[in-house]
Amino acid sequence: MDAQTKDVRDSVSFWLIISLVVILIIGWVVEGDVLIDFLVDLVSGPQVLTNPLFLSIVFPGLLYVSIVAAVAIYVERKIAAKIQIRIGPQYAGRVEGILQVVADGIKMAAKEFVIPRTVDVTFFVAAPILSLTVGMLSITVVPFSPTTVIFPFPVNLLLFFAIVSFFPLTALLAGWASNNKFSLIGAARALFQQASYEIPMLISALAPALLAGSLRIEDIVMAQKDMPFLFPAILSAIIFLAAALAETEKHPFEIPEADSEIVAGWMTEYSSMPYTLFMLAVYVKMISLSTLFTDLFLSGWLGPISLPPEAWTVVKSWIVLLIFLTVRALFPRIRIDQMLKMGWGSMLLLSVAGLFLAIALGMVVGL
Amino acid sequence: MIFPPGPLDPIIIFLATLSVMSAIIALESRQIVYGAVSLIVMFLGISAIFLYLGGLYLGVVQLGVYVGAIGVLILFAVILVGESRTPEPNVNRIIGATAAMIVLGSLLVGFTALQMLPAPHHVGAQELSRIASRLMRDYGLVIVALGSLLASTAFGSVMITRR
Repeated sequence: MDAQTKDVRDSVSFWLIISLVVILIIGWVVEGDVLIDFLVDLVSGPQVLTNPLFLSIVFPGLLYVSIVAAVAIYVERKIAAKIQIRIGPQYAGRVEGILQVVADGIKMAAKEFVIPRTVDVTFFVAAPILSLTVGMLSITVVPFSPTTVIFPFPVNLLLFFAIVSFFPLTALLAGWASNNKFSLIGAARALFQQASYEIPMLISALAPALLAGSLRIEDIVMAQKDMPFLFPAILSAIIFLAAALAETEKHPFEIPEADSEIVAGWMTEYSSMPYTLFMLAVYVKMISLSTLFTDLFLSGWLGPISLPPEAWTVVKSWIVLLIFLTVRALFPRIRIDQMLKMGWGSMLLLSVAGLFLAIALGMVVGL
Repeated sequence: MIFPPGPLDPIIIFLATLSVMSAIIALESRQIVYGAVSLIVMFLGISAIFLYLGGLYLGVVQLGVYVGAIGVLILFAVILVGESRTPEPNVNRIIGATAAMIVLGSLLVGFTALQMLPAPHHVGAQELSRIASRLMRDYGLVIVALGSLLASTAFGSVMITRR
């Protein structure tokens, strides 16, 4: 192992431990003894489902997100393979390559994290960690039910979009720190793409907020008791889905990573676990966006049959996730000028039109 | 919560120190990208203070506008332009520090004077709407004039940079 790599690895683990201790101290100062509360709740039964530590670590936090991301990667490969008449993962785990994701995870973890000599080591190491942190932050504000939300916040719709706007920052830092032409071009493309599609996404998310008269996602879901906002705000929902595809840099908006043009875009120099962190961050972002879509347009945890509310949210968000993964396999990549023209032209106009359409239809059906 | 929010709250002190330190790094850093990133950290610290003190909208807007938009754009511009920071002469630095100390002193004096005044009564929604209606009715012309001044300044700066 290179001496520089070893030094960096040691310093990374040192700073991870330091930051964990700092987080624990801050948590203790703000919230009191979190760990003791968790143990008390764990003994007392179903109350543990609303414990902050359980919410952030098990459901809908780290564990849920990691499992869904792993399943999504497998399903994505299989769906893409079937649609494009290929076979896809076949051997790992014997049955239809079901353990391929696990095998890939072990392979990635076993690889050496190569740090080239000319990179800016601080930001090169910090960017993947920051990226996953921002992804995880975005899932904290999305409610799965009135009680199942990691960070209850009165204006959580705005907070969600504020957090999503941090993603280009991590791509920029990674692209600059890599000190590579492909990385910098990819980072610039990521910034263009995410900045231009955030605005249509925010405007189309405003349609359900206007229909419900609130910027709190819980209120927006409760306002869909009679009818999901998908019907009055159908145009906004379509624009939101397209903009969310662009935000997650998936086909047909895979421009920042375009393999055949710029190697792997802003992730060119990354290998091993940091690359895995970037990939995980993309899938976490996809999960939080599909859950937000469920809350805004598909009436969230409300359903015709009485199930646990979280189950409705989870099932609906998986269906939305499946749509994301299918679209990826269907369309080829568009060019960057087409993407920008579409983002600042038709998407922006259509999102405003969708807003008015939603208000008009909402008045017609008496929402 | 163990400590009540107040001037000696350790979280406020931590956030304020973080903001001030990263502002100083933003000015003094040799590498201009590090300066831009510490500027973003300063914006984050300020929005955390807003959120902690209960200014939710203000904190979220600070996050979305300053960190998510302005910070990212500054970083992008800095990365594209490249590193060409000229070392500043020492005299300017002394003048700047003196000016900063004078501003800080006057702010401190102002705040202590404010604390001696009787506490303002709670501003309700009705009073806010009254202020809004007075602004739009009695001072509408002034607001339009100020708005057009602002717009002309923006256009002027664009014209100057295009030259």
